[in-house]
Amino acid sequence: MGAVDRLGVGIGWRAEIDLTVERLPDVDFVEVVAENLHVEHLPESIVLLRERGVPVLPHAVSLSLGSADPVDAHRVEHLGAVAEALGAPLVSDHVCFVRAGGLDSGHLMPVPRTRDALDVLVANVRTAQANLPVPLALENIAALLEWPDGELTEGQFLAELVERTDCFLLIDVANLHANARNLGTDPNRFLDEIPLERLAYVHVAGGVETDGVYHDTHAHAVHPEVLDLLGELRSRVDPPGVLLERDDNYPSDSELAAEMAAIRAVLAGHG
Amino acid sequence: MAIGLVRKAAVMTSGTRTTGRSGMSVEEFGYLSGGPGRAAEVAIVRLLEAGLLRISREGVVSAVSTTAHGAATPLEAYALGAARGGRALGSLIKATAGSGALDAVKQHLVDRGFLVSPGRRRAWGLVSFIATLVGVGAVVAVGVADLNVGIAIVLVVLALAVRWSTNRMRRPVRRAGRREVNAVTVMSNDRVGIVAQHGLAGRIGNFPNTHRVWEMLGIAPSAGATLRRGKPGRRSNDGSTSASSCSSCSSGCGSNSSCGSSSDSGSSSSCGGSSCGGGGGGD
Repeated sequence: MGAVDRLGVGIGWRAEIDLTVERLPDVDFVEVVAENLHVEHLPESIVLLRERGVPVLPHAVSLSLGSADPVDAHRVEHLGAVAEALGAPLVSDHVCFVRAGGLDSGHLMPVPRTRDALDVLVANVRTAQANLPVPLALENIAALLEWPDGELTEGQFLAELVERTDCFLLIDVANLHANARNLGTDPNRFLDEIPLERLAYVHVAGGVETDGVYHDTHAHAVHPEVLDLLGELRSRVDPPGVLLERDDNYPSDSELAAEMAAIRAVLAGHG
Repeated sequence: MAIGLVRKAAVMTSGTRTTGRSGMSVEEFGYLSGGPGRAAEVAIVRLLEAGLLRISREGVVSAVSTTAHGAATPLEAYALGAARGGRALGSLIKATAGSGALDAVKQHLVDRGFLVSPGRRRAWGLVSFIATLVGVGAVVAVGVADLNVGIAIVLVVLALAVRWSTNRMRRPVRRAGRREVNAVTVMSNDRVGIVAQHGLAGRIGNFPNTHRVWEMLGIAPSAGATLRRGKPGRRSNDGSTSASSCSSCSSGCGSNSSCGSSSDSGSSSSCGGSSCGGGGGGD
């Protein structure tokens, strides 16, 4: 499987800021939460962006590929239908599980980094890939805990996942920062271990640190440390795309534009 | 932000108040022109114009994250807080129109003699009800108690006269309030003032080239479509209407049952339609 076409710098499309996304200068691509879209009734703003030629990438949050339960065929089918409706070059979800035993966690839960868990994840990813019309990229998550008895580092885990499924990677540098702050992981080692040639694009988001815990809120400004990690990644590879995520507490148009400009500056400065 | 309300073709004002004898605020002008919903629209549009709120293509209004203290009035502060998590425009108007902050606006207008107090309106309502009973009773008495037809006719005519008179007395806006509204001229570049005068769903421009106020504000058609026009209410001369005309936005009506927001303007218009309605992350 080849590399992802160049995407540029984009922003997460959310209904509350649809007009802002349309107005912002130099939005090269956007990402939508796939579960929030109905294929038969795409938001007018999304249709408009597509007419302008802006790539719209569906991002799923509910496939629960790390779950021991079989993949929900309807969710995969919906994701594929959204991708086709949008003419998307790829889709994405997370390396996590969000439900087990019929219960939904409401959060992206980390997968135990064991060989058994990897086998389950690989099987589920292959099932999803077989039923999707476009390639699948998988994202590293921010976790507040690590399961005991892990056999692989997160980088090794993802590297083996890519090797066995040929999936792409969606690397969230804010999640890398969160895990470094909260779990003591080494982001540089992570970047050393993953196959950067399989990078689809990068997520950048804001958060807040409270009582020594970093919360990946997507509702605060992007921390300089997160941009530093983006720079670290850029010094190793030229990512096809970088996307700013903001999901709540939306700032003014000018502040969002400034955050996107900061991303561009980091990419240019570390080239 | 400049508010181009001019009283008696005199002084242009700035901020959120008009100048002149009464120093009426734009929210108060909106209230007198179209009821509590209109005042709520004024507060919300002022925040939109100031960049403190944003509205989506589908009509979801949300507060813009900022550390600036941008709310200039208690009503604006309420609207800003109510929109924190995102809210459909119509829902936000209704919530703001029913807020305690708007009660304070209304009370201020009552205290200054521009609005009839709820107590007085209830009293006149009771008089109207009694007059109705007398009229109906007179007609019934002709049949069952041999009441003289002439006396019955006199009683019915009197009852109708009292009802007509009390209904006029029950109008929310008093003559002094109507005079205040008439004394205000809204400048063509005063977008908030235009909302106060016409309402978001009101029409402006010269026939046949008219358009809705929300169109002038640049609100997307799909968002503007969430502002339903209510059924025309009974016309009155005070820019407000009876409770029956508030059917499309009942919660947009204040406790005195005046209309949420007339889409017509000025002191001579009725509450033709209300600007209420509904519109409407991952890692």
